[in-house]
Amino acid sequence: MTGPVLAKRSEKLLLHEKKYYVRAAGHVLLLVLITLLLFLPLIALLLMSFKSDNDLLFYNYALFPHEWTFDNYYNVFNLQGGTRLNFFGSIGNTALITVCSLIGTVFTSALCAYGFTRFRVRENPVVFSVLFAGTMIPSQVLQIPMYEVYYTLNWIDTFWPFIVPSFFGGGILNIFLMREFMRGITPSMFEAAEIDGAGELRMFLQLALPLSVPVLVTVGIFTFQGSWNDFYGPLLYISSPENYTLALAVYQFSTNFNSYTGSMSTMTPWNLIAAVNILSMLPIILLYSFGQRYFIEGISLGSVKG
Amino acid sequence: MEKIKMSRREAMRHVKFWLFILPAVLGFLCFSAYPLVRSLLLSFTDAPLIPDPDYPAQFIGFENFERIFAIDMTLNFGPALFYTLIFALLHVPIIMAISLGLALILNKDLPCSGFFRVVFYLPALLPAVGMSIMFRWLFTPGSDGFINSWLQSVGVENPPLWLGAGSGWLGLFTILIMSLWGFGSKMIIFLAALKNVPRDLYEAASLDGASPWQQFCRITLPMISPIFFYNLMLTVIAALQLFNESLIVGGTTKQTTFVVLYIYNTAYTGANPRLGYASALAWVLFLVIGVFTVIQFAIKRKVAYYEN
Repeated sequence: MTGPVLAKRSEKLLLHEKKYYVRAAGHVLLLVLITLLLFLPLIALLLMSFKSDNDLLFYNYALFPHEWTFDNYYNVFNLQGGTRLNFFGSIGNTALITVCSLIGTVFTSALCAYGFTRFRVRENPVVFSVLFAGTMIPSQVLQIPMYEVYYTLNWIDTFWPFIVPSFFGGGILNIFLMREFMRGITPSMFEAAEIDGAGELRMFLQLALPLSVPVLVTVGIFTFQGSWNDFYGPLLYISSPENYTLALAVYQFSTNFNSYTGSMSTMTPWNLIAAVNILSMLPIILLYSFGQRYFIEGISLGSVKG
Repeated sequence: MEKIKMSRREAMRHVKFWLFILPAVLGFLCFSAYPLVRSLLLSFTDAPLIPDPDYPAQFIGFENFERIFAIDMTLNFGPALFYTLIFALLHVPIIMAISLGLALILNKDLPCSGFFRVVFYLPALLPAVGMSIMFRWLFTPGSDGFINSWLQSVGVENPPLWLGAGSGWLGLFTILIMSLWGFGSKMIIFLAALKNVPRDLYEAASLDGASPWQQFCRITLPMISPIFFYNLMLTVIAALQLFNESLIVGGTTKQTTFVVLYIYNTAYTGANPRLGYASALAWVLFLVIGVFTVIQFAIKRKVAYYEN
C-alpha cells in the first residue's frame, strides 16, 4: 500500500521542486537584468574615459571606443593651459580631511559611547534623547549660521570646518551604533578590571576599544565614505582651487572645463571628465570591495535597533 | 559612613558620565543648539552673507516671512516647494517599492543572492557628484549627450530634451530617474528587517492555506512595519532635501530648482547673498519637513506593529 503513495508523493515533490527552480531562474534573470541596467551608465562612463578626442567627435554615440587610449588619464594629471586641475593636490586635501575626521569621529564617538554604556545614571537616557533630537534638524537650517561662525573665526577656505566638528562626538548616529555594540560586552569584565584597580580611562582604552574593533571599523568606513564624498561642505566653505577637495574639483572641472583646458571649443571634453570621474570613484569602489561586510552590517544594525 | 561613601561613589559616576560624553555635549551645543537659535534670530534680520561693518544687520521683524508668503510663493519659493513636493511624491513610493520588492526577492534562498546584495548597494555609496555628472553626460540634449547622440544614430529625428532650457516637466522626470540609483541602502535596511521575521510564521500560514500575497500582507508587512516607517521617514526627508542632482543636473529650469537649491542660491550666490532671508526660507522648509515627520509618526503609532 505504501509504495504507490510514496511514489505519488515524490512525484508531487518533484513537480514542486521543478516549479521552484523555474521560479528561482526567473528571479535570478530579473536580478541580472537589473544589475545590467544599474551598471550600464557606469560601464558607459568607464568606456568613455578610454575614447580619443577623435572618437568623441565622430563616434560619440558608440558604447565602445573605436580607438582605445589612455590619453585622458594621462591628461588628467598633466593638464596644460588655463587653471590646472590640480588632481594630486585635491586628492591630498581630501585625504587629509578624511584621515583627520576619521580619527576624530572614531575616537570621540567611542569615548561618548563608552560613557553612555558604562554609566547608567538617571540622566543618561534623557541626554541621549536630546542629542538624538538634534539629528532631526535639517542641515540647511544649521549651515547658514555656521557659515557666519566660520567666517568670524577666519575658517572660510580652510579645512577646519570639516575636521573640527568630527572631534566633538562624531555624530550621535555613530555613538548610537557603538553603544549598541558595547552593550554586548559582558559587564563582569569591567567589574574584574575595576577590582584589579584599573581606572576608567584605562578600561576604555585597554578593554572597551579592543573589544569593539568591528564596530570601530564600521563607523570608520562610513566616515571615510561620507568624508570622501562630501560635496556640500566644500562647496560652501572652500573657494581657492588649491584648497579644492576631490568632489569639488571634479564638479568645478566638469562644469567649467574651458577654464581648465584653456580651449575655446564648445565641445565638452566628456572623455576627460569621464576619466576624472572614474578616478574619483575608485577609492570608494576599493573601500567597498574590501569592507562591504562592514557597510552592510553597519546599515543593518543601525536600522534594526533604531 | 558607608552611606556617605556610596553616595560619593554615585556622585563620581555622574561626573565620569559627563566627562566621557563631554565631546558630544559640546558638539551638540556648538553645532546644533547654537546654530538652531542663531538661524531663528537671523531669519528676523536682513543680514547679508559677508557682514558689512558699516551696515550692521537690522532686526526687521516678520518682514522675511511676510515676503515669503506674499511675494515669493508665486515667484521662486512657491514653485521650488511645489516641484520638490511633486518630486518627493513620485520618488518615495517608487524607490520604496523597488527596494522592498528586491529585498523580498533577495530574501529567498536564491543562488548568488549575496552577490546581488553587494552589487545593488554600490551605486548608493558612490560620490553623488560623480553620479550626477555622469547622468548629466548621459542626458545632455544635443549631440553632446550620450543618450541623445545614440538615439540620433539609430534614426530618431528629434530626441527628447531631457534637461536644460525647454525641458519642462521632463527635466523633473530625468532627475527622478537618476534618483532611483540610490535604492541600495534602503534595500539593505529592508533585507535586515526581513531576516528578523520568524520563518515558522510563514510555515504555519502556508499550512493554513494562505496565499503568498496574503502572507505578505498579513505577516511580512506587519512584522517589518517599524523598519518600514524608519525607512520611509529617511526617504521622505532625503527627497525633500535633494540638492546635488538639482545643482549639477537641474537648476536651469523651474521644474528642476528644488527648495534646497533655492535656499543655497539665496544664501551663498549671486550679487546679493542674503543670509537672513535664506534663514527664514530654511525655517519654512524645516516646518514642512516637521509636518511630514509628525504625520508619519502619527500613522506609525496607529499602524505599526510592535512586539510586547
